[in-house]
Amino acid sequence: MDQRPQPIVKKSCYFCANNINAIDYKDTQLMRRFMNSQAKIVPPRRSGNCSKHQRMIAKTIKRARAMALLSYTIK
Amino acid sequence: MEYELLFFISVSNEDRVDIIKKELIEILESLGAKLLGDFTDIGKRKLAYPIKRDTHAFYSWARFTLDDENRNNIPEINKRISLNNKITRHLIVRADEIGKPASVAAPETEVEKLAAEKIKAEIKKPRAKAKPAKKESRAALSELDEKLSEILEETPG
Repeated sequence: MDQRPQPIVKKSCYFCANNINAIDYKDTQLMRRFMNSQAKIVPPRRSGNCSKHQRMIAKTIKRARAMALLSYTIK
Repeated sequence: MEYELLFFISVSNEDRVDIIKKELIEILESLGAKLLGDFTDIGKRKLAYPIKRDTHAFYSWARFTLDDENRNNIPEINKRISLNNKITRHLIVRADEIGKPASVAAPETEVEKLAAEKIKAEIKKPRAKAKPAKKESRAALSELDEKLSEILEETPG
């Protein structure tokens, strides 16, 4: 059995790569990229975000949810 | 420090939006805030979830500055805005956290888009099998999603 370990592909943080340091909570299109089909916030291991920007996007999504710009859940 | 105030009102109050804005400006200016420009209307938009049985709301936002000595007035501003019954919800955030004011995307929400996609998919499918096929595909999709997230959680990195 040939079982080589899978190569670890390091994903780059979208916000670091594009030099974004502020996320607008009204920009729902951008935030949708970091939510799954159930409208959950995707973990950084899946999105590739760095800790700083993950905190930022999580906060932004929560703000948008409170303002009913994004939904808390999609069935 | 610069701040941004976003609020939305019920569609039934839409014609009273100018009065509401004036009331807001009064609250802000009485507590030492200076408005930077006028309110920018996002307009009528579908809510991501119904609030008090309303499915749509009228959104608007404005930026304002508050001097350092008046910085402690933010909770007071929040309190006074909450006391206004016409305003459904509001939010005040520091402007440096959200960057420069950008134009907001068209008021089409995800739900509407998803619905549109579903309609498209249904059109593509043969009419006779539309109902059972839809249920199956939905179940399959959610299963797939679960599996996908499981797999992704197992793999490192």
